Amino acid sequence: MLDCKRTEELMIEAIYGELSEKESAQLETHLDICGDCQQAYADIHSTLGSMSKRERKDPGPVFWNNYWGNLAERMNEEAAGNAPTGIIIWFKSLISFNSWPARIIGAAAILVLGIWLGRGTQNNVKILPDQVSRSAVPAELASLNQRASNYMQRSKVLLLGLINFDTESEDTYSLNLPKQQQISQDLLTLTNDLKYDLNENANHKLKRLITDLELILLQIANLESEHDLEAIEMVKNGVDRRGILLKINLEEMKQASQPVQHRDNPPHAVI
Amino acid sequence: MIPETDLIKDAQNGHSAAFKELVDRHKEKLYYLCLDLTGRHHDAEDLSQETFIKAYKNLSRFREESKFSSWIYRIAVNTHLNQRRKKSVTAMQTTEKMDTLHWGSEHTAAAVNPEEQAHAGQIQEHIDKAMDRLSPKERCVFILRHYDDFPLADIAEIMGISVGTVKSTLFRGIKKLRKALSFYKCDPGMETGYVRL
Repeated sequence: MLDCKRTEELMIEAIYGELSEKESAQLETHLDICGDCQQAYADIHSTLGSMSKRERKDPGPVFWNNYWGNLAERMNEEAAGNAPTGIIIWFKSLISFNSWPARIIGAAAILVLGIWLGRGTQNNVKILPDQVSRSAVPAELASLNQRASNYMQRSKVLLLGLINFDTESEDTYSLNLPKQQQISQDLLTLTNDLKYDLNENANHKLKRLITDLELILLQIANLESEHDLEAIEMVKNGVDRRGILLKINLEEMKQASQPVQHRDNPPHAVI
Repeated sequence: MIPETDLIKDAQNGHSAAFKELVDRHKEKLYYLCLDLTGRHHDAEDLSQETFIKAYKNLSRFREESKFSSWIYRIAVNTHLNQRRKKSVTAMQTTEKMDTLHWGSEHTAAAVNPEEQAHAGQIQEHIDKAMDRLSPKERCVFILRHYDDFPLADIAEIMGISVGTVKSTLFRGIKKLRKALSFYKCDPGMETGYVRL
């Protein structure tokens, strides 16, 4: 004979079709003689019927189309490592002091450090005019920058061709997708080495840009047909959303401001 | 179609395309679970992404004794419950106050005229509010059973609790929902008949 407590468990199993025949018969017998449980069972059915009317809103095709792109972007960001460096942790711990004596000591320490550094610079170092805004770039790094620059330049030309292609008005043959895909594949073969070298040189910002580019190049290389306008639009949106062309331009401007190392005439400071 | 076990092995060996395929196969169900858990689109997107990232980082730990879907659901549920736990007491108190403002006492809820309330949008709102009355654990169990159709034993595995606890938690949750929706009792649009075994 079932008690009411055990019946509660059986009701849940019965409602969701997880009850054996034997237990089902036991439950039915109990419900026939127990008005409270019978009422409770009816109420559960009624409540679940109401809850089944709940609707889930579909976020729409754009959300689903961009889902992997957004996820990959977030994974890349996490992989690039946002962990603060030792000096930042130290500084944060300094400014997070709650007591006023600790804040005063921290401020005084920074002030003293600043004065000491300023005096040292003024007394000992004279900077030549052509070094005012430019720092020297080691030859190895210059070579890496050159490779990255070439990579970005080629990618930029490729992406501009795609971005400027109007899927609504232009003939897809003018896009010459097979050629674009070949260029994408060529660039992709260079990506891993470039990313590795950038990692070695701790140039994480440029590496992130190359990673973003890699994703777009992969999408282009994997386009199944030049008639798949939706997929082409997706790639274009990805370029736009990530601001890739803007980032390339900024990176090019940054690199243009750095001098190339000349072995015969190394830059120097007069001490 | 590539078997899931092969995709998992490839993903474990670092093939991102295999992981992408796994994401494509499970993103929809996972997103809707996250939407049910959090109640907001942006939170659901965030939670589902976080779940996939955690899954990716811990792929080497996945063992084939359990289903991949159960595994990622477990990650999602645990992540959600941990996030809820971290919420400050103040935030919870604010929510409770807002609930009271929306719902008033049970007497107030019961006194609402069902005919006036029975508009489609309002029904959804009331159902959502009823869901908000559940504790995070009750909500998880209810969602997994009622909307995602997981058997009780699987829910126990996902939540890391016994089947008995799943059943009692579910029963308790349904009782709360019944109270919250009690003013719909007389509305035939919201009722389903009493179904005998």
